[in-house]
Amino acid sequence: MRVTRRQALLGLVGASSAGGLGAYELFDWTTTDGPLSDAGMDGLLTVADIVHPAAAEDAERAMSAYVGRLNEDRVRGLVTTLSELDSRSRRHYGASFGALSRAQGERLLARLGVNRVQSRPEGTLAERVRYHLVNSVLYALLTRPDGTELFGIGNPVGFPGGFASHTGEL
Amino acid sequence: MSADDGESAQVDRSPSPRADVCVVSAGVAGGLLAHSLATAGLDVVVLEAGPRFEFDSRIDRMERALRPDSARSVWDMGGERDAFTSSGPEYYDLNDRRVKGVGGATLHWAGYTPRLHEKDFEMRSRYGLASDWPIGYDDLQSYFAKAETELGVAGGDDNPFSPPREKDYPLPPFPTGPADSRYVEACSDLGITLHSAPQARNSEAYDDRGPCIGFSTCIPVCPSGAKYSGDVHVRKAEQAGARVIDRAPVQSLEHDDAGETVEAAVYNTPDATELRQEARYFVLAGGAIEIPRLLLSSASEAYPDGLANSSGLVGNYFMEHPIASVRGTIPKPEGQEPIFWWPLESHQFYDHEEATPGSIKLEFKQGSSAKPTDALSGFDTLVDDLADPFAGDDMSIESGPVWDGWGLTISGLVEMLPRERNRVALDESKTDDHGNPVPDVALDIGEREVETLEYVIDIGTRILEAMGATDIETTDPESPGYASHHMGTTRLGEDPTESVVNPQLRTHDLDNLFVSSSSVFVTAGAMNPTLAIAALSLRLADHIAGLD
Repeated sequence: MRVTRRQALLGLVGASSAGGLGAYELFDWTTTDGPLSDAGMDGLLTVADIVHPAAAEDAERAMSAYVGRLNEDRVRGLVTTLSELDSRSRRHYGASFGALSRAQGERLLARLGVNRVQSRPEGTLAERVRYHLVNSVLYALLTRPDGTELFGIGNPVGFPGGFASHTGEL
Repeated sequence: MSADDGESAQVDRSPSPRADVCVVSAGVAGGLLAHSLATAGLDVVVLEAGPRFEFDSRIDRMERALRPDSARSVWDMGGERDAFTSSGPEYYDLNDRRVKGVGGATLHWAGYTPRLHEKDFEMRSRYGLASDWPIGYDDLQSYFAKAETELGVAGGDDNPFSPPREKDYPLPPFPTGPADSRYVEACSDLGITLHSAPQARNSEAYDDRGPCIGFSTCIPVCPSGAKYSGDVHVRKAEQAGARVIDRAPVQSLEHDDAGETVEAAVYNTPDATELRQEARYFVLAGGAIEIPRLLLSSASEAYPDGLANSSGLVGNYFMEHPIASVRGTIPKPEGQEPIFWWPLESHQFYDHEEATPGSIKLEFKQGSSAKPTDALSGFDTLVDDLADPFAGDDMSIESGPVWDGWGLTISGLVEMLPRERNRVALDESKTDDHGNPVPDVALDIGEREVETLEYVIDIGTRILEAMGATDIETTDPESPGYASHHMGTTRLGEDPTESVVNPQLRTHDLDNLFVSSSSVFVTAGAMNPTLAIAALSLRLADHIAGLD
């Protein structure tokens, strides 16, 4: 299994605490790879670890592709929500959300009530976490074969898998 | 990253000098017409009520379509701009069934493009029903062929029920899969012939657009552009010299003192009101809802009941295509992926000897309405066969849609007769964002439609039973769904007291006002109407280009 950057990071965090992450600048305009900084990406990967661990291998690539095609409004909503979640994470665990273990992240989301609210793009923090983070990450993963193969689906709706897959010849 | 609709800082929406032709609306009809006329050297201005949609925004629109928690309509319909009233016996959700903007409703269509049959033009002569069209299949045949070329239709030569054709489709048909083969076998045993379904979706590269890459979201958005939509010809029209002004809803049409010719289309923009576009000819191409609405909104002293409405029939005879469906389940065929389109149809039950039941177009669908992304719907609205990702202590999603069964759906589009009581009128008690009365839609079916819908259910049930399907269920013929095909509100005819436009699609009342839309349909048939809309538009372009 490929070691993702987040997994490597967690190893680092375990050895030297999260203090070295410095200012948590999520919205990185300087990179041409996409609008998210490494720290922002790590936050999304924590969410992916929580909601769809079976797709972990593909998660970083999926998140990069997904965030890279969001429009400005969507990126703003995602980054703002991630920033607020990060503040809560630092308060409770002394570390950014992207540096939390899966169990810690899950506990924080449950503590916020994310599993008891409807998804809304504008609303309470829990509602926005559900929309911009949980459901967006799930959407990114469930529209790719790596996220749906465990359901027996090789070409999910929303993935451009080619019309020939209709014939079962692929 | 992009804005949704491509609005740049400085857009000139001021009127052009008096044009040869002013086209109102930039959907498939307006786009084809504008392209043909501009190519013929005419000076064309197109006024479109909605925006230009940035192509790159389609990927976000697909997400809106697939996410159950999406906060926005896929094509930004709704709100004060699109307010309407449904006053028929059953609620008709108009805004789910149209798109305002460059490309129009073809942005969210499935792309199916069958031709009308000869009988569709001869309902009075053959069955004593409704009225004949003043033109026949022969008059449109060459334009059907031209429309298939313009739109890029994929289809095969395997349809024994086809009306006369002069050449093959420009693109080969889409391949069939294992589940399609199951349909074919069962239907063959029952004496029912299936054949390829003509569709304006690229089965291979065509007209500078790539082949379909299978997002499986034809309805409501094609992110790749492999499916034809009206913006293709709007773009070509601009390349040929036409001018297209978006966000320019036409408020009314002004005529001369004699009431014989239209002089100007009065339109608003985001920054200005009461702008006037003058032209020698005007063509209304905004569909069977907005065309009668504009005519009724343009009442004057000479036309107190609405422009071009001396017959009193503008807005009357509104038609749709009611749908009946039979659903069942078979074991998942090996190798079949759950992508969502249907390459097979049967037109075997289209032409008929007796008056009733009416024409039926059968579609053979498969897959399931459940998609992996349905998991996003939330714990208290979750569909039955999905696991809530947040159920229990573990927040992870561990299961998806249940795919041990394979959903089959046989649907039939059904012919609907024109009735005066079905109509588009103005609701004077409610206004849109420009203070204009909103459209009021009334739609209801009659006994003949119910009987035809029951026939669909009988045929579909027999097929699914022959396939050994389980859990067979049917829709209610008394309360059908509709195909979002708007037709019949400014109908064609020779007699000015019985129709709104003449065989050349010119209004009986005004010498320079034409209509290019399914609103001119006299009867509806049971075929998806877009190819006929395109054919009529190309025919009208030839007519107008030949006027001087």
